[in-house]
Amino acid sequence: MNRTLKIIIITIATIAVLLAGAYLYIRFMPEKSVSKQPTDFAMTATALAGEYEANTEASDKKFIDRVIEVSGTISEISTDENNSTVFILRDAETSTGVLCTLAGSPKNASKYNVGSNVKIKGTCTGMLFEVVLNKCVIID
Amino acid sequence: MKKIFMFATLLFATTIAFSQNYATRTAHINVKSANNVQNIVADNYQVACQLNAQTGQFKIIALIKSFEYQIGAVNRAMNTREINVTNYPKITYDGTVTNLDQINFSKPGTYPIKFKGMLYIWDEKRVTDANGTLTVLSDGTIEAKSNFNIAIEEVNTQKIDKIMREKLPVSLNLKPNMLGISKNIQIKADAKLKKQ
Repeated sequence: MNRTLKIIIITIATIAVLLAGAYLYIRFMPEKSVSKQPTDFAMTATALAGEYEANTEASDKKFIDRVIEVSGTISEISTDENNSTVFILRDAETSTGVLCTLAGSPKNASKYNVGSNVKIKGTCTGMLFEVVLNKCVIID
Repeated sequence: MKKIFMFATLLFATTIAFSQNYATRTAHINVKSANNVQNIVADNYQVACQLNAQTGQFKIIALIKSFEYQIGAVNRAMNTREINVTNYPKITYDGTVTNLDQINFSKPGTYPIKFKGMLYIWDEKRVTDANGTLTVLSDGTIEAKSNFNIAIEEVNTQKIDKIMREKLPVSLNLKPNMLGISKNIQIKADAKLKKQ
């Protein structure tokens, strides 16, 4: 194998590796875990839901994309279409609550039942029937 | 007084018995948009869905920031605080089931379902028809599934392409049409709704 051919093969191989690396970087770039992000707001689920009920537009501007730590009582537990555990935190006397979709499948989620008190941290994405927190992690 | 109480009780019981509202907070929407390199695919599992089985009124609401993109770089780009969606935080489909007479909500089985309604996405609204299936399960819950396509305005694809261009690393030298979205978007929706 002459020297020119070797250089061509090495160049092509280097380009292929770089392209593959760029593709993998774009495809699998990891997201920052919510647990490693600083908390922007810490409040009760009732207080968060109350702010949203009072003024949804202002609350969207204040809370969307912010990391919020909420504490409250679990009123419903379900599983979504992605098999993630979903807690709804709502006090008995309030109509609106906070929907928290847990990130991954945390083992400690199974120890919580309806009526348990929990502290959860997640990213606010807005309000549907309840205020919605995504990618949540259980703090306590 | 006793008669009034009995009448009120009967009225309440009748209302409950004939309550035909179904809803879920955790429906799923899958969105796919083709481009030159790799399709942009996103899932949203925090979708509210309501159906009134008596009137056929049907509503789906999805939060834009709840979409999770299958390409990590796109996910990171779209879920930053700089991408401000507070003017239009939701995508809403407000429609009606047009073949309600062909569906028996009290008899388990799978029925074809047709919708007609308005889709609100960003500052656009457009009439959108869709077909799908509705399965009535023996426990009273229903499963609705639908696949449909929408075409969005060029100006809105440009907005998203601009975001992609600004947020992806410059060193990658990607053109917007390589990872941006196209005008034609395929949507899959599935929801398990419980009687309220």
